[in-house]
Amino acid sequence: MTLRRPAEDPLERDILPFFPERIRDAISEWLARNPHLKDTIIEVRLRKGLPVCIVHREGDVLLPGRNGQARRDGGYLTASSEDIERTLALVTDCSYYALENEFSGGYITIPGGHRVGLSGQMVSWGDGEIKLREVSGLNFRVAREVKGVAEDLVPRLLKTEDRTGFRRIASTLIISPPGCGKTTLLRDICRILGEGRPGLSLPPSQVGIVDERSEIAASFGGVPQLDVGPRADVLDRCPKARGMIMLLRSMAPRVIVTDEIGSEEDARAVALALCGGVSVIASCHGQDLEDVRARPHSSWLVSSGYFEMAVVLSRRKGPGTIEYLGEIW
Amino acid sequence: MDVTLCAKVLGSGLVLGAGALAGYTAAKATEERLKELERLEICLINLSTEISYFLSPLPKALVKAGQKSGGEAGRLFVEMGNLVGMGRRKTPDEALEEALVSIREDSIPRFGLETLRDLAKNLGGTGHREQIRYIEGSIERLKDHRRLFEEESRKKARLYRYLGLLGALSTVIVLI
Repeated sequence: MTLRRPAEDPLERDILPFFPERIRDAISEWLARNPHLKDTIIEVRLRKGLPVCIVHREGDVLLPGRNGQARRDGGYLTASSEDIERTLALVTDCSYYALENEFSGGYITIPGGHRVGLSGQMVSWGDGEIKLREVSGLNFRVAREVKGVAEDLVPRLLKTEDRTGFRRIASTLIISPPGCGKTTLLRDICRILGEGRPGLSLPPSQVGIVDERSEIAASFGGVPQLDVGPRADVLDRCPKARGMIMLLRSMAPRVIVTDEIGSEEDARAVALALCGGVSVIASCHGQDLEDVRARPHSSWLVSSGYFEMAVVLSRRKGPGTIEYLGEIW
Repeated sequence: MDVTLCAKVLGSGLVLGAGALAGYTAAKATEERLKELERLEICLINLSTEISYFLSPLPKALVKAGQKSGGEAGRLFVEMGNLVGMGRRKTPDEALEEALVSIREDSIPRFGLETLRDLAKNLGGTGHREQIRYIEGSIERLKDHRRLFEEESRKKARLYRYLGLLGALSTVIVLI
């Protein structure tokens, strides 16, 4: 099992070794020809009988076949059934049985915090459970850390306690549509809070993370693969509501961080944590505060004054553009 | 005493001793193979426990199952566990073939290895209920084979012992 990795290209270090040799070589060759795109690769997709696809920030490319190797579909390099099966066996550590729950969620996390999305034939069981019977597509999503995105934000979220005089982070709701950098921001906030910032009179805090979708810490085998700071306790793949209560009872965090609150149960757990004197930093989907107010469960949290601050993000000037930062009125 | 007679007695003793030792060694090897089969069964039972109760990933499950059982079969499991999965990028059947190189040749009877090869094709690729079914199926197969092998190897062991001694005795008679 791997702990944190040294800085290298995550695609070459963590993902390429899983691929069959011919695909690995073809990708390496393509990378050598396009070094300027190396850091912009977001995904590598393998689909049974179809060309290997590399998705980067500027678009995507179907991988051309190599000379002397089997070419189909107009000269593209295709992934065979054996390629998919072998790759799947390796990414699951030949332990599908240990990852059944993750499979029903449609993805698994591999060392380095990268996620492998799965597609194929689903089968529905009598108890309503849906399982993947035949995997025909694998989508390797490259996890890249963006450290420091919350450095300017955190000072603006600090509050000074009247009685004790120490500074703490305000309970904050981060709102944005998907793909605007909510999770990246949450992760960086965790790191900063765990490290503390003496310059801001912010002492290091014990941070509890309820990472239901394994997106904040991207844990593998329970070990965070992305930097969430030195004082983070992560409940990986744990339902948010139950996880927040577990953290409160057992880990005594000063701050609880969680992603995408949405249900009534989540809202109640957030309220419970806030009443317990813990700051909660959470994210939720939405265009702006009004959007959040319009939804029954999040509306209750926002208007009852549980959250003190709100941050609204967009992609207007790229992911992570702050559209609003202030108190919830 | 006559020197020639002395030499004959000593030589006969040596031939008899060598024959008995050869028979004993052959019988011991047969018994050892039977023991390895039992260890292989124990390995599989341990593997089943690791998977059903602890949901241990296959590499870890194989190593632990092998360490608990010992012997050549245990060594085979440990080696296989070290090779399989993310670490060395080997599938279970590839790992088995590579691990077989590291154990003593012929230490495990052929049908034991065949059972293991069939199991390796299905290891790790299905849900945990199916994995347990595969492993239990292999254990049953091994047990059935072992019962036949047990009787046969006992007879063989006895035969080798007698054969060693009798062979030596007949050599002595011919030489004298």
